Amino acid sequence: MKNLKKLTKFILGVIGITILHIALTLILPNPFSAFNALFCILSLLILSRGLGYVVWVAFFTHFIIELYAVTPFGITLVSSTIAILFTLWIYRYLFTNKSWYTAGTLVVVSLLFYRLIFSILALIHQSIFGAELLVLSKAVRSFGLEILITSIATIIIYLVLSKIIPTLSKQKVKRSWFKTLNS
Amino acid sequence: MNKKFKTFLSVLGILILTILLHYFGASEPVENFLRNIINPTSQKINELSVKIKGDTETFSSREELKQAYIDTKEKLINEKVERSKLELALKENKKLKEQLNFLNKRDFSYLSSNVIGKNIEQIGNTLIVNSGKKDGVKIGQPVISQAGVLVGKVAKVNESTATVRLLHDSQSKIAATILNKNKSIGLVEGGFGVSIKMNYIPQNEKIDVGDKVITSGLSEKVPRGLYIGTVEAVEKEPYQPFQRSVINPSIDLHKVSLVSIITSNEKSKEAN
Repeated sequence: MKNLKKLTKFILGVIGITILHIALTLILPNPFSAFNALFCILSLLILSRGLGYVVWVAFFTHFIIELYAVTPFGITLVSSTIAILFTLWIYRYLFTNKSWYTAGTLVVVSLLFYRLIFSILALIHQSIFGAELLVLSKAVRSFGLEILITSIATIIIYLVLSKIIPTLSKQKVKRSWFKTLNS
Repeated sequence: MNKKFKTFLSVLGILILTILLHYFGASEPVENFLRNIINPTSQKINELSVKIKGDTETFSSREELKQAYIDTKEKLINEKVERSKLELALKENKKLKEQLNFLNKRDFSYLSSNVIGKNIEQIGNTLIVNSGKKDGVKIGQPVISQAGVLVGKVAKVNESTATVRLLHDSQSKIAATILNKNKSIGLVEGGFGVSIKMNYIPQNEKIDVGDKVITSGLSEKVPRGLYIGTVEAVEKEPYQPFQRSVINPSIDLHKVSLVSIITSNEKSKEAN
């Protein structure tokens, strides 16, 4: 019963986050529509909990996003899930505290991973199948704007949420690699 | 480190399995279920988005003024479409004239669709419409707005939805003709923000600001005569073999809520 409750909460959460992302992308005016709500939420979840389930949230939310993407199925899903997995590891072993600049750095790192893997996969697909998926010069500009808008928004959201959610407020990261080295 | 590698391989394995299930069609029931949940919400959000963005464009709080503005704009678009058709009809022979009078005389079959969403990825400018494979939608079919203005082409088709690549998407390429003296042909490309550009126009051909641009019929599945927009500026460099023009699309591509997909090209081919 407890597991069923948890599962229902997880599914509703995933659908809710995805709908919020779609809504913000559609409603926000340009250039604010470049805000990646999914990565903002996922980064804040990593910062708040630091648990592996964030990777599954990334997987399922991007599975839904993938259904509406114009790129071949798999590129968005693989790049986002792997990016969040790497970000989670970086957070656990390199970050030592929770603050607004940690939130900002985390979202920048995750988006850099995401767009890097995305570009590599798109270019591989392009070289195999020939169909042009990515114009690098234009993509770099779009990705830059996405990173800028998302990081600023994440910092603002963090500053607001850290006053309400105790797990987000300034404290040491439990399993930091640096902390282990020092002790 | 070994544990990390195992986790990475497990995640990668699940991702590969998911992709394989998708391409073999095994995950289709799950995908359709998710689409059935997301589509109605997305449509409502999209309608709200069009309403919000439409309101900001009028710069007015008076309802009547807003309505008058919308009506005038719509009339202007219709007039531009009609005028471009008229110009063609005067300049081409009777056979060509009948071909170009696509809205009334040609045996096009249109599939009307509602826009249920827009691009949610950072790259690309696309629309999601509520017609798909089951309605006969195919990749490459042109999509027009209610007024007969080209919006883009179908880029991806699912069972009950399709993704339309808009004219100003960075990967959009459509062969076009300028209705000037030379009937200049070129390639209309996106990727320049909200505007579109027409490239590969020979240097010696004269283009004027305000000239109308229509599809040339040289792109596969896109018939000649679909209205694209008007020339806003001409970019001419003496050392370049080609000139290019900035095209002003006649409608705001982000505010389209109802479109028609031209499906008859295939039909006529099949009949032949």
